[in-house]
Amino acid sequence: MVTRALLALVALVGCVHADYQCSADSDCNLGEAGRCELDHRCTELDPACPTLRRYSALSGPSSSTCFADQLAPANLCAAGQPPAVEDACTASVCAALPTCCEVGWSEACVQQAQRACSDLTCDTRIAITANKAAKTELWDLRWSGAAWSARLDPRRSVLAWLAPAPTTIEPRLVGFDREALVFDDTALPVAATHNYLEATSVDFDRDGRATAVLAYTDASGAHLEVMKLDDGATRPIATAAATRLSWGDVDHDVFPDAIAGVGASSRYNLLSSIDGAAHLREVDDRVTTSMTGNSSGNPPPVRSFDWIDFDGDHLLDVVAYGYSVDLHLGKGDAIGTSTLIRLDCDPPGATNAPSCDQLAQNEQAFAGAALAGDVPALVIATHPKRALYRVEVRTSPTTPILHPYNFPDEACGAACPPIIAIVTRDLDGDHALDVIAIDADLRVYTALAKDNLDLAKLALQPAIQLPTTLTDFLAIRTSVTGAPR
Amino acid sequence: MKRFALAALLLATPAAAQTADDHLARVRTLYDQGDFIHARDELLAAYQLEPRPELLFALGQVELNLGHFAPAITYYEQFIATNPAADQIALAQQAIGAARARLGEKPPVAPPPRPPPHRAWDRVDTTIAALGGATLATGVGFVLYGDHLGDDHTGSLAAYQRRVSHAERAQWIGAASVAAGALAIGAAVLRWRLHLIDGELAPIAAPHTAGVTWVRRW
Repeated sequence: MVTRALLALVALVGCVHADYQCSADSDCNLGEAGRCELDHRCTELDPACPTLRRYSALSGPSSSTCFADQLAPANLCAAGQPPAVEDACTASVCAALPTCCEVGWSEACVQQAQRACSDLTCDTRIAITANKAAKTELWDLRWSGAAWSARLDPRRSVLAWLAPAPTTIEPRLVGFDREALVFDDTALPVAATHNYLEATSVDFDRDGRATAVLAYTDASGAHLEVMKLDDGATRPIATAAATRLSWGDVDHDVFPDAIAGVGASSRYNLLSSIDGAAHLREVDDRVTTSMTGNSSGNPPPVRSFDWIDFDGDHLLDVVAYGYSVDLHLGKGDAIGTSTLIRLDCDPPGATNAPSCDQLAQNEQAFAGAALAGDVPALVIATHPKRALYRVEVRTSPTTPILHPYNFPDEACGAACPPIIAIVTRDLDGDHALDVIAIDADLRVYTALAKDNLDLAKLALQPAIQLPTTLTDFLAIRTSVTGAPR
Repeated sequence: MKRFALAALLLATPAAAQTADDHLARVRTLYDQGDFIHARDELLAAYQLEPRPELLFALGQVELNLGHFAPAITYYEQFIATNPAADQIALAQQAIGAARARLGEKPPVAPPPRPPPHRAWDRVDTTIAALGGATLATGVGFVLYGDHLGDDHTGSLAAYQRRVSHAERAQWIGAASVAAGALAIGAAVLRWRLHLIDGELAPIAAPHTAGVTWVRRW
């Protein structure tokens, strides 16, 4: 017995169970740029780790291991989550798009999962922020798998879907109302002086926390605002571009990068994530380019951005829709002009093609979306004339191959409003992306892939008319998500 | 001398007594082997067959060797009563004298049983054990204090690191104290075990011997 007692004592000695539990970043004051993680353990900067962070000593079983925020998403249908750990489904996704397991689970990853994962079927939820002059309507549009539904949201501005909280399934529908970002039963206060333009979900700091990056302007210009949804903490980031904020990956440094437009201009900037002051992530917004052309009727010069691996190099490419359609095949210079394919005119063609008279035909404000598939394509809509095309773009020659969609016969005839927003998602669970097109009067059309196998006979079908009292909206911002069904 | 006399008697036995001679032959063997009991049985058997006087002398010798002095004297006297030669009477009488002398001796007195040794727990033992116990208790306190410090997660990580370092130091001090205390207690017990009050010199009382033994029990 004495021997056992002595052995127990020896075991006890030298085994101080060092497992420090932090509650705030300020608790983590060892090493450089200490941070308190979701598991209440401290990390510090370590460039040798993929996420540039390593658990501090005294962190229990995690001590001195590299920090990783990858998770197995409970909801593969929702973008804006941390990168995925590889399992049967996500492994196939990440084989095609490594960024999904290395940088973040973006909308491109959701679309790839819908195509590649045989057991994944999602419902579709589209938050619509429709603008017309000084009027804004917020619509919550949903496809359950069997029927469409639409609900006018009472919040004041910017309706968007954010990713589910970590380990949960339900995405969060947020909007700004009464100086707060409101979702579910939560209202996180925001500054009254900020004019919010965007609300996006992204694992911006690679900390695995539920993070929203908001875009706003104020008297000093455009800014991003990183907001932690679990405690409402915010920090501003200076940027020249803040509209139509869209997240993807350009420089493959494991931190998500973004594209955003500059105010009401045709300029847009790459927002490349960089290590900033005190090792907090910031954005480098110096890479910029502008769309060509113009349009009458005052539509937004930049309607939206999209991310798709267009050239099959397993890297995301950027597409910008607006006065022109700019396809940047990301090769390092991201949105530089050296790898740019630019479309304009009606019918759309390469801007340097003889058929595209930029002086006579370039008055367009394209809406569009990428259509990932065995043959990647773009779906773009002209403006102000109503037309919708499936466009296959080849790098050499750059002459696009167009396949027009036929609209159903409607009373408006030639006066029918143009399509001003396009979303691509798998609606019917056949693991092929379908097209959802919304016109300026908020009529919703769909083109299911299975009904459009013959590219010569592409057709849209009416889906739902949103019960709005307004017509001729100029711009629609869409935010898409879903949940497994 | 006695052995010689017995041999002489046996050698003098006539060869004609075949059966008695067989017994006598076995007597020689048994006698040489020191098996006096069976030698006596064989002699008695031979005497039953042929009651020779010299067999009475031989029986006396065997009984003498067995320490049965009274029967030995009886056999010698019976031998003398058979009117042997004068030298044989002298031998028998000499043997009777020896037997009677041995018969008069007192048996050796066995030494009284020695009382079991006992240990004494003295004041020195108490002092050593008390100091050891106090040291051990202090050590356990240090160990538990260190464990408690390690469980205190308040404050910043740097403060916690200092606290853990302090806790580890306290635990090692505690461990050393516990070890020292345990050693002291062990030493006290060992001292008690070795400290025998009757670790005395015990005389050996036995005839024709002298000496001492030192008895100790572990």
